[in-house]
Amino acid sequence: MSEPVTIAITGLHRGDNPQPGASVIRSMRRRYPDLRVVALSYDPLESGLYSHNIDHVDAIYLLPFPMKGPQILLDRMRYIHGKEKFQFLVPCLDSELDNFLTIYPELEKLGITAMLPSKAALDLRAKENLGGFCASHAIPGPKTYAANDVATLSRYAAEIGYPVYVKGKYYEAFLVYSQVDLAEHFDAIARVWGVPVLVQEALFGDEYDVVGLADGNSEVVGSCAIRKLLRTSSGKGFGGIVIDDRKLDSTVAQIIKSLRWQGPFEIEFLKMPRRPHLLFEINPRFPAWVDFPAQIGCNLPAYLLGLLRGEGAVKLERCDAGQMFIRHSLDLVADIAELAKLSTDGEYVAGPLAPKTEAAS
Amino acid sequence: MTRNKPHAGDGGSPTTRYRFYGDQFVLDTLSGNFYRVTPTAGFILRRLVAGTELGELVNLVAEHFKIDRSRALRDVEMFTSELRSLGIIESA
Repeated sequence: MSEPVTIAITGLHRGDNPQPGASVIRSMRRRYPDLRVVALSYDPLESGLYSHNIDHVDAIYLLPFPMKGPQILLDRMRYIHGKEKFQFLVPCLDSELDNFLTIYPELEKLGITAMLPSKAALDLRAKENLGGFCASHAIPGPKTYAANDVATLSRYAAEIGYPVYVKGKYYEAFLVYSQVDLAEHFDAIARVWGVPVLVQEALFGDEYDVVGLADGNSEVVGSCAIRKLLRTSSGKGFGGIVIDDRKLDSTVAQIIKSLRWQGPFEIEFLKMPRRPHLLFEINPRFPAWVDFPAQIGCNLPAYLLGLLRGEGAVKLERCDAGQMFIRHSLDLVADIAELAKLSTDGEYVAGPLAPKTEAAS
Repeated sequence: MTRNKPHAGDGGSPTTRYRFYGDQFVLDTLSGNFYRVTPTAGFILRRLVAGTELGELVNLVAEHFKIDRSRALRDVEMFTSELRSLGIIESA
């Protein structure tokens, strides 16, 4: 009997700063309802681990934190693969990609396939390098500087002029109005995410977000552009509306070609009246709202799985402007026994509650 | 006289860029912004998007709302000025 199609996936927490994993599962199961999913988790309380809906997972394994380095990750992946025999890997978090790229040749030897960008492309789009990338490709972007110490960062902030954003190299951004604020947030960010810490010009306008997938030739095979309609207090999109902006599409295609990117991406822009879109961030993964375009004809995660499986391309529809999403939080029911098993054993295969799968659409 | 024309943006023609939902709600598909407008503003905007020249538009407003032409001209100019500041129409 052939092995079931199985993916391993990360980024399962859908709190107020939701990660993409659950949405990716949801989208993939819309086309592949029998897909088996192995969750790779950094925290037993990641909310997606407790879903019993279409985005449920079939097995859960805790991973070492990215700061532990690639060798410990490889050891753990070998163990998990030995038990689960998954064929495909879909990393959904920025901070883990360096390690996965390092161990990818070894994962390939195990028979695991993923669609990852090159290390060079990943580094070029890193927050600390994005300003240089924008300058060398004539792409408008906000003034951004990176520094390893607070004195240097303060000098950059003074040069830009307050207020400025202080940002971690992977996550978190704070708007600060003074040098005192800046120093405080530098310490907080450096403690969690390390250095460099970034300082960025604070610009205010409409935020635009493009999700897409690039093939091995750095061609954008599908994308969906939205304006953020609702934002959380930390600036995360909680609702969005599809736009039809061919110039923005061209800019995205140019960025992807310039980076020689392959795989999923999310590109964020800011737009002020009578000024071009400013490139704010390039994230090396699908965003948490990727299941929205999947429901209106542009199922990028399923397309990715098709590519990984070597299947023929399925046509992706262009998302119709005016379609919109609004995020809706739900309460999941779980049993402490699940948390106990996961916390003590570091793994959990099939829950005591049988998955109640929503009808696929 | 300034000639106003709706901004086509890059998503196609002005007629496809703007979508009307009844008389009082319009979506700009290029920017994703949407507006609640008064029936009068909706009347003017629909015709601007369809390519109606300003002079003809003033006549249409005067006729439709049964007001004199000078008042129609003032209303249309005030409204188009606001549209220009929002980047919805451009001066040519």
